[in-house]
Amino acid sequence: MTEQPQAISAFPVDLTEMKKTVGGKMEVIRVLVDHVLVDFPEKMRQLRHGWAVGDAGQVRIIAHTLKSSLASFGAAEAREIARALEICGATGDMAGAEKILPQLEQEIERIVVFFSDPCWPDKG
Amino acid sequence: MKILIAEDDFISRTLLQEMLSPLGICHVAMDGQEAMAAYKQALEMKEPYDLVCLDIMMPHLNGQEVLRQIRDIEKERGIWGSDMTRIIMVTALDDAKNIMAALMKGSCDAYLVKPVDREKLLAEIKKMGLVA
Repeated sequence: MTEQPQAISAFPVDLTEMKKTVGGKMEVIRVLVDHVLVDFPEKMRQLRHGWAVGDAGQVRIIAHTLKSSLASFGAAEAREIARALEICGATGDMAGAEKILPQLEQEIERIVVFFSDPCWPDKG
Repeated sequence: MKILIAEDDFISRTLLQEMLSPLGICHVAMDGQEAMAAYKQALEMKEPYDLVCLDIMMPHLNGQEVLRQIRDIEKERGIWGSDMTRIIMVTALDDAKNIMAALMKGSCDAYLVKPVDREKLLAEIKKMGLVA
């Protein structure tokens, strides 16, 4: 059976819910986006390090935190990948984590690129 | 209303503050230890928190443990019924074990899974009688 290619959303985030949460205050979202641009790459570094040293607990905690943040940004695909990675951490499945990490890195990169574009408020 | 938000993640903390600050004074704690310190200090000052929002996976002291300690203190001091602090667990953990532990063993008042929906949160707070 041929595997169907997964549909990738045009944008890696959907800010609809977040806008409702903050009552449409874009200044709040901008603060969170500034945070993301520094924090997400740092979290990926921590995840890589946790995996490299075989620290499943670290992988679980960081993936869990990322999952929560990604959900807030309506980053559905990245959230699901972070969730899978969290489960790998919780079960100590570091071989599984090795396969999932590049997928999460790719999604995080999409998000960073998206928010690095000054026009992101008109797109998300 | 006096509210304590215990949340180690900046994004979740900021969003909760945005949702809750129109309802009253919001204090924030970055982890479970800070949350317990703030809770105890508020009790000593006889200005306890009306509402505590607790994340579960926090460094130093997790939210389940904070919940247990708060309920133990209330029991020791004879704080019952409507005088008890209302506690909402706000977490990305959606497994039955954590939900049951918080609701049954810990006696939290509500359990919300992130991302938190503003309407759901406000509905829970209304149900608790903290806002009209």
